[in-house]
Amino acid sequence: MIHQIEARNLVLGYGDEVVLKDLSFHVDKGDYLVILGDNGAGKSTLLRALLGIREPLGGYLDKSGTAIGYLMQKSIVDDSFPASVLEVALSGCIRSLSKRFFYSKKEKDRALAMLERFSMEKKAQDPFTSLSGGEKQRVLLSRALLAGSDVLVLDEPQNSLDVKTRAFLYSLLDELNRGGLTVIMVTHDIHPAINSANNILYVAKKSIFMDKSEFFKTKEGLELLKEGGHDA
Amino acid sequence: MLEIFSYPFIIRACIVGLLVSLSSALLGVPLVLRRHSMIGDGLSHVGFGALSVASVLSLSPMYFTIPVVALFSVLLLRMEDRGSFSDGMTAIISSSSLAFGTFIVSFVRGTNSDISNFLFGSVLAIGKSDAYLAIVLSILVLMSFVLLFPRIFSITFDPEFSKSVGLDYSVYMTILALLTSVTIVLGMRMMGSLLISAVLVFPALTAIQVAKSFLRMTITSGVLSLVSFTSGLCLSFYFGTPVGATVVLFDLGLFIIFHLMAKFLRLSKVH
Repeated sequence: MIHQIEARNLVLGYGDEVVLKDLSFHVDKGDYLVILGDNGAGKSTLLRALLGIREPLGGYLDKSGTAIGYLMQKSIVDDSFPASVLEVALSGCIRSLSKRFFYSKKEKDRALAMLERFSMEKKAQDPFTSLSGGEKQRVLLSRALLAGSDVLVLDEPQNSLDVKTRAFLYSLLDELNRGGLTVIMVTHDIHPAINSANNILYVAKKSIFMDKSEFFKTKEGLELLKEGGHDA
Repeated sequence: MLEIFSYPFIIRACIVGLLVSLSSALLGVPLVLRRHSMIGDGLSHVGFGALSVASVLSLSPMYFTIPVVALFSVLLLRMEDRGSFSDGMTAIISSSSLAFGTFIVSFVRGTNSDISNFLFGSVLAIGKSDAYLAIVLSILVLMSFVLLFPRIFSITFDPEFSKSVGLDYSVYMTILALLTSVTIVLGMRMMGSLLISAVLVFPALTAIQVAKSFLRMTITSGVLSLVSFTSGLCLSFYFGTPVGATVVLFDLGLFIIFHLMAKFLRLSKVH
């Protein structure tokens, strides 16, 4: 069977410095993969490889034919950046511009339809910075899904979100995942790993890729549960 | 006052000035938003140095200065994006170019009139062939900006996301820096190298006070720049003041008015 994303013996790093090696895992349609691991273990490096920002140093990585959208949480710009909700959402269509210069009517309609899916179409002309945390999430999700509708990649989505917005985002992701969207999330938060994931990729010197229930029986899994205050 | 416009050199200066004002106001938007405001300042000083060298060696000012400034634009951008002490380095390059230019001109000619013109600009500085070149180049700059607009928004708003969809931040920033260097050289001789960078950042900073979207900020910035150039030029004839200084003071006035207006609007929203 052909996976959406497949990695075999992947080697990742910068220049001569190897950050991660012997990494093997795969992602299928509808999977919810949570990537765990210590700071500096190479989680962000892995994401950058998945997104095609940085080429792997070695090994095999196949993600061809899979449209990957990226939802990044770090506060994007300061509060003075003037950008309308529609402008932000439309920038998710930038790949489909290809050799054209401007967005077509079709792309604008796609962006509006996506905003409508998240009940944000009425605020399309509002400044992005005037939105609440939850509304910003929905706009950024629209942008990510416009950029890639097969797989959604998230980097530490819990950061810089208040508890309420975080819960909102997690339930939104669960819903999208139930609808067939593949979710890959790098996180420090053990909760989506426990509640939503079906597979876990634990990134370390010796990386582990396993079904969730199997993973939480391993030494590393038990340790993470303990740290998170969920004693088995 | 209108009889002034019967002189062909004034008409030329006017056309070049309007085109350059528009280009710099548009380019200023992404530069200001990405915190590269000082690049214009650094480049105009490099431009001064290059212009001095061109004048001493009797080289064509435009054809010599544009490539030199373009080269430095890429260098300054690299430094600002990843260098340590980058703002300090920009200051060093700025002041060294200024010193170098002043040194070389006074050494060879023993006169200060060129320096004054380079620093503060003069409407008379634009010759016929320079004007044609300036018109062609600034139209190219404007076209590139308009055509790349959706991409410029994307990399300005979110470089990281742009990378994930295949837009290379540094490529587009380099394009912006190159366009900026051309614009600066074109505007420098009329506006003066000390003041041209103000034309780059003022309209954008004024527009950001009231704009609700990137497109509107860009349009507002362009319109403001055209208004202040036209007003500044007329006022400079009326008062007999240098064009560059008058335009920049007009820009300052607009900035203060918009700033107060935005503050007032925010306050009245709260109450």
